[in-house]
Amino acid sequence: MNFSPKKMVAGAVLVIVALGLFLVIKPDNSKDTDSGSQRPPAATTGAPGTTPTVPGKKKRPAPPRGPIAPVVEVKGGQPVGGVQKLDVNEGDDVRFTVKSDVDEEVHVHGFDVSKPVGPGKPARFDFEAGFTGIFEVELENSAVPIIELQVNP
Amino acid sequence: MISIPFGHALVSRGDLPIPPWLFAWGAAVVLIVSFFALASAWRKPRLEDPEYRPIVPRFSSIVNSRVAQVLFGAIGLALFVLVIHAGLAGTEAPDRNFSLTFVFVTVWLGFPVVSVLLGNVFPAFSPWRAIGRTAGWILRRILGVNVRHLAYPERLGKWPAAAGLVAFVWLEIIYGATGAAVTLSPDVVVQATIAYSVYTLAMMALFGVDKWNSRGEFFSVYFGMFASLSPFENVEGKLQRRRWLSGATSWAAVPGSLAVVVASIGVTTFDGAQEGTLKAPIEWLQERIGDLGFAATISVRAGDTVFLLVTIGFVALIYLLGVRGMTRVASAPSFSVLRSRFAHTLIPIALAYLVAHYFSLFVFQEQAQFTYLLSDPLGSGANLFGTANSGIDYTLIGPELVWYVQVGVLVAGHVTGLVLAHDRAVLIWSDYRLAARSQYWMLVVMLCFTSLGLFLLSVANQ
Repeated sequence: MNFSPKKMVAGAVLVIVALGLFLVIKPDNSKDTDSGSQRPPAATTGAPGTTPTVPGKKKRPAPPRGPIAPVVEVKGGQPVGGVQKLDVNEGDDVRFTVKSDVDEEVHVHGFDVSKPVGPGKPARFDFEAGFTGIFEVELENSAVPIIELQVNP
Repeated sequence: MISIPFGHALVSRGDLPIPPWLFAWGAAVVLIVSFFALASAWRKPRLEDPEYRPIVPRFSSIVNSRVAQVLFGAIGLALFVLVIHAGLAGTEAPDRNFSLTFVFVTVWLGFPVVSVLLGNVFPAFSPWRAIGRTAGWILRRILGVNVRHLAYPERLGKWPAAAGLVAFVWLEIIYGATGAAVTLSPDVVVQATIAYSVYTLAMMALFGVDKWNSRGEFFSVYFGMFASLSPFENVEGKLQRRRWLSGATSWAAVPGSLAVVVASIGVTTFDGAQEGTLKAPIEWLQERIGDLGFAATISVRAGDTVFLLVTIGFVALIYLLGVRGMTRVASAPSFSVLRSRFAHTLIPIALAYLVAHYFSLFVFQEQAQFTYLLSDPLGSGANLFGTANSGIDYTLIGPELVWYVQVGVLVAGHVTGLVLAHDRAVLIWSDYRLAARSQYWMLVVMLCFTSLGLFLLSVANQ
């Protein structure tokens, strides 16, 4: 192609400057993590100390002033207040409880954790967010999504 | 906002949106390369009428031998039979059944990339082509029937393929993933496959195998579109090399080609927007349709369908406005001529959208394809190759790599589209200044598509 030397140099300089700036200004994800991002959905409460750990994992003590594990309620097969959002950072414990007035199976996609839930038998989840992405938590039998779990780097 | 809807039943993980800082960088790089492209342009077309040079003669004669052709066809046919068998006899859990991942991920997302790198390899494995050619051979050689085909109505061009493409994606992301209680089951995939096979074989019988393959069989047309970017082609029974991208210059000569490439961009755009920007409007429309007294499933699908078509129309509109602009340049050909003569410049955009949206999904789902879906294709507890218990390693690629690939392919698609458009412009306008002026319009078109692509993957599309 007919790039004149001058234009080639100009283009190369632009690209190098842009790359350099990129490396300098690019935010460092490992430092600017938002520690308070595990927000419980409004109008729900939960008991923090009572969540059991996932079987097979080493027991870890409940954090003394940790965020309150959110509770998602399912009524008539639908999540109350629509699909709830759950934001955590990679490596955090994901803790939440699902209560349901019908018998169902709660399935966390990606992490592939499943627990039965039913009237008087809430499903309590506690697992480590080992990788990033956006994952659906759904009622397996009816394929109704109830939580959107976002794991940030 | 989740990009999960793509065969939601299959996919467990959605990509994190591109963060604002990287979005800004992507946009800045696009602008820089655009101005660079404007400033430094060649004045004679370099991609038209490509020269072909035969390569690897021995390998070429092996893959083009009758034995190899039959073997490739048999492999394609065997996989086709496995898809049907797994769909009928296998588990109804979509993510544990070989069929869905194979059709919607391995084939649908794999062949475009393979085609760009290696050339048009799909026809060799096409089960319908294999059946059609075998049937023709039996009729001619064994039964001595003189097969005569109808003349294909050339005005139809590739429109049947465009329709097939939209129907396929409709099945996958609208019929298959419309929220509560509707999922794409292997059962449905088998029924659709059988229906499509009957239709395809009938059309091949009417118009001839090769004719229908190049016009109506949408897998062949779609993968062939990406293969036109490739430096390799099998011409007259010999593997030949040509300049990268040069094959694309003749791709859009047939009517309906524009529809195929616009539909390809449109369906990916819809998939990216339906859970983000378009979520509220789609839900609004679905409720209105529900108010008319239609069942929930019908109103969900109808609302999605309307917006899928609107999105495809929107993509067409961006391109056609750019073409309309080019007609204002002095000594420009007519609108309809320009419209088809620049259609091929959108192929790199279609490829960039595809890779940007489905790169991570492909990487993760192929782990399933080659581990437990291979060892246990029916989900029946078999363990043919000892890999039935492996899973998907979601730590294989991190979010940053995914973001860089997404931004990188969008920028690359942008540049490649501009290169093709510029090369076409200097062919059409012998006056270089007029050619350059026409390219302001194509630059706007490409900028629109690249910004739209970035936007769809960004935090803003939540």
